[in-house]
Parts: sequence; C-alpha cells; structure tokens
Amino acid sequence: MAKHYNTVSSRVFDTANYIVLSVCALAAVLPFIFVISGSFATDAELTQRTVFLIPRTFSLAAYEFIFSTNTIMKSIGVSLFIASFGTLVNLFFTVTMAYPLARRNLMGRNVVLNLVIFSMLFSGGMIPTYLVIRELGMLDSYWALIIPGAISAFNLIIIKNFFQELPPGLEEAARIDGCTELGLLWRIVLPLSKPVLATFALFYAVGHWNDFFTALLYINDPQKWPLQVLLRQIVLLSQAAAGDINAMDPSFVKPPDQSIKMAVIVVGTVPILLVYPFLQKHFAKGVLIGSIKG
Amino acid sequence: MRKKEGKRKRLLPMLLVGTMAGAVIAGCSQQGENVEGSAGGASAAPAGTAGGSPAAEKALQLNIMLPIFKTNFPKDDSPVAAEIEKRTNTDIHFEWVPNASYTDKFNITLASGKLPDIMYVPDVKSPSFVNAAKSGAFWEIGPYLKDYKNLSQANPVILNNSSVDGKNYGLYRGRPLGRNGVFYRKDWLDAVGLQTPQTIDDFYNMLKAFKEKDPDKNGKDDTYGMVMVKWTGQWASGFDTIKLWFGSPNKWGERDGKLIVDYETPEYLEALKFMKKLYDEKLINQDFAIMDSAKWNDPLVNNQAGVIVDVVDGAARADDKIHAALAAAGKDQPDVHYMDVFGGVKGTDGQVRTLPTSGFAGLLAFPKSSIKNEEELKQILKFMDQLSEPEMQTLLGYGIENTHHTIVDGALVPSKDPALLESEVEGLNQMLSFIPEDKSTKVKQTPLRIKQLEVQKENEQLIVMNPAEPFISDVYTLKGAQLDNIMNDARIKFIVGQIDEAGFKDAIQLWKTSGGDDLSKEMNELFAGSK
Repeated sequence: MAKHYNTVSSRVFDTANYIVLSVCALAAVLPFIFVISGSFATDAELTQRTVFLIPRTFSLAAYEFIFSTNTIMKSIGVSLFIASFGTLVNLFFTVTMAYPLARRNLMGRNVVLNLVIFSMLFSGGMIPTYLVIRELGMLDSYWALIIPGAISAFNLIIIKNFFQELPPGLEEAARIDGCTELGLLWRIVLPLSKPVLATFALFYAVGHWNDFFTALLYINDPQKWPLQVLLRQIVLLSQAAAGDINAMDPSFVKPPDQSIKMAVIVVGTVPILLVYPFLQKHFAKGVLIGSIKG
Repeated sequence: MRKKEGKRKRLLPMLLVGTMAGAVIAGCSQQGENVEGSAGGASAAPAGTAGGSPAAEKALQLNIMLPIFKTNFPKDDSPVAAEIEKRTNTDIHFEWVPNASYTDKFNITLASGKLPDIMYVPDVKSPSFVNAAKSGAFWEIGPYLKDYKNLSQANPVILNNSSVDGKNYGLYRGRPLGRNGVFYRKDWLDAVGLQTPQTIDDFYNMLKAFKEKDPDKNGKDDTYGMVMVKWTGQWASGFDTIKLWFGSPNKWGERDGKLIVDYETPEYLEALKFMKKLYDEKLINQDFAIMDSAKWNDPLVNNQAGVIVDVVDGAARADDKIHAALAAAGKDQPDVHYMDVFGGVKGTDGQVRTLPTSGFAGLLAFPKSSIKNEEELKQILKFMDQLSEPEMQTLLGYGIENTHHTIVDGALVPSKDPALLESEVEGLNQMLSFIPEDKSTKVKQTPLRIKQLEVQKENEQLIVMNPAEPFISDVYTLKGAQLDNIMNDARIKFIVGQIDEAGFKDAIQLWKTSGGDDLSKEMNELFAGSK
C-alpha cells in the first residue's frame, strides 16, 4: 500500500489532481469571498480596486444602510414565512398524493399518473395562469406563491417511487397488528422516508427562497415583497438605468453603491446556505434511493 | 370479509386524494370571495365623482401604476402623498412595480384586462402597447390637451416622437432633448495646456495628449483618452454622438427625399475610421466592447482616462465621485470642479451637431377599461395638469418644505436623511409629465451644474432629429434585434481591425438581405405616408 504512494507517476498524478481540484474549489469559493468582503469595503475602495479578498478599510456602512429601514427585515420575514410554511404545504400535499398513488391497487391510478405527467410536459403559460390566479382572488395574497406550485410533478413521482420500494411485508405486518391506513402512513412509511422527505424539503425550501418571478407577477403590494424581489431590484438597478438613460430621472435616481449591492446579496444568500448543513447528511441518500427504477 | 377489506383498502387512499383536492378548492374559493368583494367596492366608488359643486365633490379615486427605482417607496397615506391628495382632491392608490421587472408586469397587467386609472408605459413602441392602443384600450388624449393650461404647451416634437402613428395615447414624461454631449477632466486639460476642443482634430489632440503627456503628472504612462462602454444592438455608447460630428444621420436620414439608414452613408464610415484610429493608437479602452456601463465613470475617478461621451449631466456625477474619492484620501478641494462639459465639436463643414434624446421617458396612459367616460378622463387630465404647476412639481420631486427639504436663498436643500426621502418622496416624481417643462425649485446650482443646463439648452438648437422616430415598423418588431446585431458586430470588428472596409460592406449586404431592405422599404412607405 505504501509502495503505491511512492512511485513517481502516482505522485505526479496526485499532485496534478490536487492542483486541478484546488483550482476548481477556488473558482467556486472566490466569488463568494469577494462578494462578502466587498460588502464590508467602502465604495471608494471598490471603485479603485476591482478584485480583492480583504478590504483595506473595514466598513459596516453598507449594512447600516440596508438595515436603516425595516424594508429588508420585513422581506426576510416574508421569505422565511413562505419558505417554511410553503414547504410544509408542499410536503403535506406531495406526500398525501404520492402515497395513494404508490398503491398498485388504487382505482384510476394510471389516469391520475398520466395527468400528472401531462402537467410536467405542458403548462398553461404565464398569462392564462395569471388569469386563473386572478379569478381565484389570490392576487396580493401569499397563497398565490404557495398553492399553484404546491405539488411539483417531478418531486411527486420520485417520492411515489420511493414509497413503492418499501417492502410490502412491513405494511402487512402493521396491518395485522391493527394499524389503520393513516396510522400506516404516519407511523411506518413516513419515519422510513426521512431522507427523502429531508431532501425534498430542501428542494422546495430553496425553490421558495429563490423564487422572485411569481411574487413579481402576483403580488402588487410592495409591502409584501419577498426578499428576492428586493434583491433583484437593488442589484439590477444600475444595469437597467445605464443602457437607457431616458428611463432615469436625471436629478434623483442614482445607482446604489456597489458595497450595498454586495451586502444585500450576502443578506439574501446566507440564511438559505445555513439550512444546507442540517439537511446535507440526508441529501445524497435521499435522491439516490428515490430515483431507483419505478 | 376479505372482499370488504379489499374495497376499504382502495377506498381510503382515494379519500385522501379527494380531501386534498377539496381542501385546495375550498381554500381558494374562500379567498376569492373576499378579494373580489373588496375590489368590487373600490372600483364602484369613482363612478359617482362626476358633477356636483366643487366643495361637496367627492375625492377622485385614482389607481396609479408606476415603476420604482428604490427599495422603499412612498406609502399611500404618507405625508407627501396625503398633501397631493389634499391639494388635488383625490384619493390615490399607488401600485409600485420594481423597475427591473416593469415590462413583465406591464404586459401581464395589459393581458389581464384589469388596468389602473393611470399606467406608466415604459416603451411606446413595444408591440404589446401598440396593439392595445390600436385596438382602443387607451384614451387618445391628443385632442383634449388644448383645454389645459400646462398640458396645452406640450412640445410638438416630443408629442410626435411619443405618438403611435401620429396619435397620442398618453402623456409623455418630458426630459431634456439636448442631453447628450461630452464631459472631460478639466484639470487634465489644463495640465496638458490645451483649450476646450472646437473641432474633431482638437478632440483627437485632446485624447492624444491625455495618453501621452502624462496629464495626472505621476510620471507614469498609465492614462488613456476616452472611456467607451459595452455596445448593444441599438446603442453604441459615445459612438452615436461621434458619428453625427462627421455628418452621419441619426439612425435614419433623408437623402434625395428618401430615408436611408446611417450605415450606408460615407460619413458613417468616416466616423468608424476615426474610431478605429482611436482604438489603434490606444486612445480608447481596448475592452470597450465588453466594458460594463455601470463602471463607466470609474476610470475617470481613478485617474486612468479623461473623456466620456454620454449625457452631459454625467459631468456633475463624475465630479461628485472625484470629490468623494479625494475627500476619503484627505486631499479634497471642495470649490474646484474637476470636470467640464461641452455639447459637441464642429464637423468638417463647420457645423456642430448633437444627438437628441427622444425627449421623453415613457408615457402615462389612461386605460378605457377603468376610465369609463369622457367626464372622468377630463377630471384625470385636470389632475395631471395640476401636477405640472411649479409648486406641485417641487412637492412631488422634493417633498414638503422643512420636512424633506429647506429653502436657503431661494435654492432647495434636500434632507440629509436618505431613508426619509426614499420612504416618503422619491418615486412620486415618476408621475410627473414635466409639461411644458421642469419648473420645480432647484437645488443650489454649482457652476458646473449651471453650465450643464446651458449646454443642454444650446444642444436643443443643434440636434439631429431621427425622422423615423415616430414610426412603428413591423419588420423591425420581427427582425430588429437580429438586424441590429449584424451591424453591431460589424462595427466592433471594424474598429478592432478584424474586418476591413470590404468586410463592413459585406455586413451591410448581409443586413440588407436579412431584412434590412424590407425595413428600408417599410420606413420609406411610412415616411411618405406621414408627409
């Protein structure tokens, strides 16, 4: 074993490996570090030095500015609510639909499954969906961000397949012990499905957290903007204005400072990054098991 | 027994699906009734406003959809909005939409048919607006304008520019027509011992001196002449101004009674050759084709370059940044202006020409679906007319005196509290038409800002109009982006030397066969029809 490490060619190979992987890792991490350190720099420094990892002058001005009003805090609250409550709704509906569909003896199972697959391939499009949401009276309501996407067809099928893989013997045994259908789902199936549930909770939560477009379309009241709409507004402001000078009012509108943009990106990204470590251990397991043949 | 068991096994899962679907439907319909009810109430209210004595007149209900550039916005009942409502006897509800996403929201609102009373239209030429306007979704306000004190003084050039086939489906939001020009580092020009350029050669000499004569006196060869930024299809940063100096038309020009596109004129090629010379001699930044326009001013502030061809009011912004950078280093001289401006330089024929803006930034349109009759329209136009009064413009632009600004020696000093301004004032000026012009009380004018305004005024006499500005072309709608890209690529390639004159001619040929000929034909038909 030790001999293996000592041959010249293997050492060269290892070194090359380390170098390539380090470069890849750095390429992934450096932009993050730049944005984080940029958010702590002064704007003057950002104008003069284009790339750096440690700011010369440490400044909290950008964070003071964005937290000087409660706008950001409020939208963080909105986003947290939608991500957590929305994910619960997602999981509830996805599981309660996937579980019956996993039963081969369910009447009309194939029809429902085909409908689900159909909805994966064809969608109504933006304007018809908007009209439906409007007629349902969900404009300006957080339901518009939660209900229309309550079940993702793709996630549903993977979860259904996972349920199907559970040994039928368990179910029989539970039933002989007098377990009801709901009890079966709650006490036997769900505890066994923790990895899959954790994985899809993360998928759904990240989806809600990053979603800005539905909020943009369906939420007219700026008091209810989630964080991403705000983030986009701040980050894109200078780009939208620079190409089309006419859109700007010359006297008033000026793009926000770079450091403020970066601080907002940090504030928008960090909370969801914090969720990863807690779900990560279930992650690979969840997706892999779920995707084994159907 | 066994049979029954089997049935139950199937029944329960089905029940689960059933209750789930039921819950969704119930949840939605309940929500639906609530919102429908309140919306119905709100839209019913304005119906009774017409007629009656002024004192007893009910406040005019207005829903206004506007873009917002900040993350804070004035709330419906914040002090300034309340003051506007009081002075105009209205009850206003603002629908703020983030500017970056305004177009999406605009299109979907248009498609949904449920429109506000006043709606900002970002792009008059966009197919969605043109189609809606042509099918009668918006009031044509042209004939009504003459009845109002301020609105009747609208600029005919801008009215024409902002029309759809000659008809005005909204009030334009006026902007200075002569906004484009040149700004440069004045301290550098003094350092190299030159005068403000008068001719194209002077301009070239200025750039050359900025590169070669060490204008920042640091003993290093680390400066260049002019900053250019990313060229997009329709927009070629400073080049659109420079080509006019050489006598090229502004996009479309009249030659022998026909419209001809600027690429085909020899003057345009002269301008391109000039740019190539600047590029070859490294007087402009070598990465101009990809330089981000958000960073346009940075090289000026960092003592790397000395000239920008853009809007003249950029001068004061760059000046402020230089002051800020120097102040951070403790070397600021607050009374010195580091920047100066001029409108343009003389062409070979001794004429000065400048690039106009379209003179407006979008329209404020009045949908027919929410404004049911002429009576209501007239009320709303009266409201818009009132907003053009100087004291109303000041109110909407700068807020209430002694709260959001103070007046010192007749000049306005805005509050130092950005959060206050953002949450109560900024954005309200988005609904100003500035017809006939911006008459609000001004912030104290530095000499540079006064000069900027003078240059803008002078420029108005020197502008080269684009005769095709009001035309709506079907060909351009379909193929415009592709056509623009062909010529944009060719321009950049010519300047950096990847193609020569023959190659540029080939690009024009490609442009013609890809739809350019159809576009020219259509433009000429529209042009003939407009005479």
